[in-house]
Amino acid sequence: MYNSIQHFKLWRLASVAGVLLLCLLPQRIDSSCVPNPNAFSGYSFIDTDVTRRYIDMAPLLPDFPKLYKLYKGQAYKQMEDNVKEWRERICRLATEADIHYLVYVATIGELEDLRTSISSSRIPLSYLGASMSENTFARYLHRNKCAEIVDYLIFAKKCEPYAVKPGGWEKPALARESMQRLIQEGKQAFMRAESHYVRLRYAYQIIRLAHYAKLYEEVIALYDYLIPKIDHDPSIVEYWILGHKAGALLALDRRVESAYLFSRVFDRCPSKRESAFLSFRIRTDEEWRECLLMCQSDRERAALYALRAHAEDSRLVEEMEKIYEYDPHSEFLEVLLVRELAQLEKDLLGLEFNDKKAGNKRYHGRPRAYAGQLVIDLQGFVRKVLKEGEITSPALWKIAEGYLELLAGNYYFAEKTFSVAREMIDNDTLERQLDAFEATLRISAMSGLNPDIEKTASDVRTSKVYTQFPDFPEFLEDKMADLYEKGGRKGLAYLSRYSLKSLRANPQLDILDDLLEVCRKKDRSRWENWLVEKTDGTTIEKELIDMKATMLIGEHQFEAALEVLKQMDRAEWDDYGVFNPYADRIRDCVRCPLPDTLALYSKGEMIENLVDTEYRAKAATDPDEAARLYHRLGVAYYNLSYYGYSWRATDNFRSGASALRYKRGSRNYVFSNPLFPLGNKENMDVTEALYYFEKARILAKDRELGARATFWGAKCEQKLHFINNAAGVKPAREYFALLRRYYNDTDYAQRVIKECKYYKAYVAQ
Amino acid sequence: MFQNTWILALLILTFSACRREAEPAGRAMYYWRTALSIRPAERALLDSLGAKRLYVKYFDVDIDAGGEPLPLAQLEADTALLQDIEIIPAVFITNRTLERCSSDQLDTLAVRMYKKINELHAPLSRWPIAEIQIDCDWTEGTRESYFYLLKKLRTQIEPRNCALSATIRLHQVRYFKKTGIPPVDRGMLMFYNMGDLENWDEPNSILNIKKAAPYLEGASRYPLPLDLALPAFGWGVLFRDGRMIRLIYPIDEQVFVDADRFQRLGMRRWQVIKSTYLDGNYLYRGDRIRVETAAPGDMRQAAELLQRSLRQDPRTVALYHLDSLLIKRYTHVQLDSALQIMAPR
Repeated sequence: MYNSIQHFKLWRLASVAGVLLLCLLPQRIDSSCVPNPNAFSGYSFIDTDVTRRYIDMAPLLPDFPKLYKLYKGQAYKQMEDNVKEWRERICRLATEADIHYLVYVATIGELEDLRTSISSSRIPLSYLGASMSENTFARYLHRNKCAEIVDYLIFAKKCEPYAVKPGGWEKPALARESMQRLIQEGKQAFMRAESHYVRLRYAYQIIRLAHYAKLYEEVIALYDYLIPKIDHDPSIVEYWILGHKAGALLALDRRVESAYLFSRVFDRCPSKRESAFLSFRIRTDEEWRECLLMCQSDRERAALYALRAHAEDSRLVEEMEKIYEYDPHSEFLEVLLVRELAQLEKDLLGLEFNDKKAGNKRYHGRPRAYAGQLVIDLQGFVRKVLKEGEITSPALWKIAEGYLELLAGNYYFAEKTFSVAREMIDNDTLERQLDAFEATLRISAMSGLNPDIEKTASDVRTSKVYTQFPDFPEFLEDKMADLYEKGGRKGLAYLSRYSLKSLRANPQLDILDDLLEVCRKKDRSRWENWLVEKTDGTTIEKELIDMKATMLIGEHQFEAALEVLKQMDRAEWDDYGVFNPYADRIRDCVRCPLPDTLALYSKGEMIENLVDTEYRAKAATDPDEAARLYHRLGVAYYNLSYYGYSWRATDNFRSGASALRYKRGSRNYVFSNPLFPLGNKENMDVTEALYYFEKARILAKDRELGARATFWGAKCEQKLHFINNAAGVKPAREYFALLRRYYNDTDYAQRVIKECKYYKAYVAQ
Repeated sequence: MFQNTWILALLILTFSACRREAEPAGRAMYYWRTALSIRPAERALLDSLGAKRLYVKYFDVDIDAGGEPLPLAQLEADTALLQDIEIIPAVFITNRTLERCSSDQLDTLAVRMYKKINELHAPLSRWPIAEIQIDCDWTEGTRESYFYLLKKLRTQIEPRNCALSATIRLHQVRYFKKTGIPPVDRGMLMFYNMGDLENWDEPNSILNIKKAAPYLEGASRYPLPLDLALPAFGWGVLFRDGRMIRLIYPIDEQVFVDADRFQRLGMRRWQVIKSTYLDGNYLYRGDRIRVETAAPGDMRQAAELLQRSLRQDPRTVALYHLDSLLIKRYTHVQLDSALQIMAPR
């Protein structure tokens, strides 16, 4: 027994220590769980699959955050492209994983072993361990005696420590002598290499080393010396080299040449697109003209405009017209079209019914003042492009034309255009996109309140596309809420947008009555059913009855509340909570448990009891009996308020912070709360409780009862002082004065002195 | 007993007579470009103004795509003409870095920042770092992380007898109970950027004394000792389609005399009439630009207002910031006159 007690004590001690330790440990600072109330709130139905093909441009497309989440970074893309190119060069005779291992993971030692094995017949590949002997790329190199490639890989590994772009936390190992030694070594290997592809790769390593060593002149000289010695065979490595040359030119302030080269890299090399965009510098009109003159084809000229178009806040239509003029097949045209659509969608889609539009305007400047004009401009351009028929994906442009018509509010034309687009579509991605835009159109075009509208809403809600785009529920619900609001159906409007739970903190009579009407309707529409039916097939009627009764009890309309409760079976009253508001305590305690001896009442029974008590109080001929009953009523009113432990009978939600947030003297008891769109209403007014205590005090002949009623009056006086007066106003304390003057010698007053620090301080004054 | 009291009084008098007068504030300048290269004219200005300290931005801290904080725009310094100038490293940190970093990341960040500062400082000065300044326009949402980072930085630098300071914006002085007091040794009150930048009708968002005055009402209660940075810069505020989209900096108003490209709309307000490049910024036809600078008269007025409002005199009064346009824009006398009020010579 002793052992078990000791064990229990130890365990309890350890638990307490554990909790304390947890509290003392540094807590992670993470604001991600807190939603940003000022974040933009709109709808988007542009399919991520449509934009996925532009994933390499994700950093330049801030309007597609989902795309950016899929983007793995420039370095990753370069690695992926590199592995793919190696694989193509060896006729796909090795797996990408094995190539990746040899190029990025294997150590110089492992590669040297492979090199030795290639040149010595006495060391078979199987001697090198599984990582090499089972590697398909290593086996390919071994089988074909590709010593030159292995030598190159060894050289690349030696260069790697120096190929750190300046700018990170670690100090770059700018060992210029070592780098220059490697450049020399690389040059010799370059000259020895028979494969022009291997030469190209040596050139890349050497030029990159010179660039990172800040030997900018040498970068140019090396480029001019090495590149002519390589037979041209298209490779992404060429653009990596070009990027380094462009960087060196920029460092030497040869901006025009640098900008031209960066535009070529931007155009042709997805893995270097972001850095090319960031490094592109043109300062003057003269430089721009010179740069255009350097371009050798219309595609290059188009790429130059595309680069400029990707700047934030560029005028896209103006730039798109230029790109189109030079190269109607440019892939950048589509990217920019989708980007502009996303911008206009943000401006205009659902503008008339988005309940967050005020915040969008205030914090995000949406819709932009000129959005309407932009739609017109873009429509003009899209129609011109479609008419001339030179673009690569006419179906996409046709869908865009329809979406622009939708955004402009021309639903009839949008429908026509979408049906033409449907005929032009040749792939699933665009089909899904069109499905989404057509559903958006159906929702947007709904007007007035009639059974057809509710049928359309239900049809859209059960369609496949509805589940594929996360913004559809909110879009549809906001639209329906708007229609109901305009049609005077406040309950349906509320429930279309928010949950029933969110109504609990501040229920409104017109909302509740409208919803009760729907619940009692025999021929509810599918949409109405979806709003008021529970999963078990019953409706929310009883919850609404309880909510309405609770609200009325909070307003002290007891008879009205009782009538409402009678709309459900009396036997079900207990399901909505049991209470006893009569506990007479000196100190307020909203969460303290009640004594077991107290009987508990459902809300209906409680009301009946309160009504009966008042009747008996009025009927009582004995003043002390009347005083006792009035006091009992006062206690109940107080305990049913925000300050009492029975607050749940009058309010579905209470926040302790409300007392701190209350603006003194305002008598506004509704507090904003992110969980409740209509705010959280608290029952803070205890005027009626004070009325009953005052009656009890005046009637009471029994001085103990008088003391009791006076002290409770003081409690109400204190709360009313708080809610009625501005900060700084001194409390009157009239009831404390009465308690001290007339009842100080009573047992109850002496108890109050012991338990109530306010009164104790008052008496001590 | 009576004799002892006299001796005590005499001692008090003696020591109070020996107390030195408060030292006048030192003069300083900010250098906020990536390539630190002081030209002879700039050095001459520093000397003629008696500015012995240079607050130099060593790098920015921003977050990369992978959620890792990175040092960007690291200082590339040419040490020529820097002799006898005390260099104070400054680091700008973006709010989004603080928003996205976990406390573990902030711990590491503090260590890395200090290491990087030392690495960049080594070739610049043979003197150890006396102060490090962190620049961040923290918000309620990032305050907790920012102050945590500052505390961590402080633990790094305190054993090395180095002070930590932070830039303080005007609104942070006015609402300090709400925005909090950064856990640093001193604050540098950046007395500029006080107007409504995004409103085309704003007369001057850099220095607007009328708007600044209410912000200084609580300055005397601000619990941190404050140094002071006055504006000596200008910029162009670019509006496109009714919306402020960018600042053009630096800007030389002389370019607007080209009537083929720009049309004057009013006092220091211009409209682009032909799409054009302006110092690396591509402007579209219809764009509007408001040119703003801190006027010398306003700088003096600002200094006078601050002298009345601050709880204690600053230890340093700095001008933001040193570049070739500063010399073009202000005369030595104008700058000296603004500094003279709070940092007399």
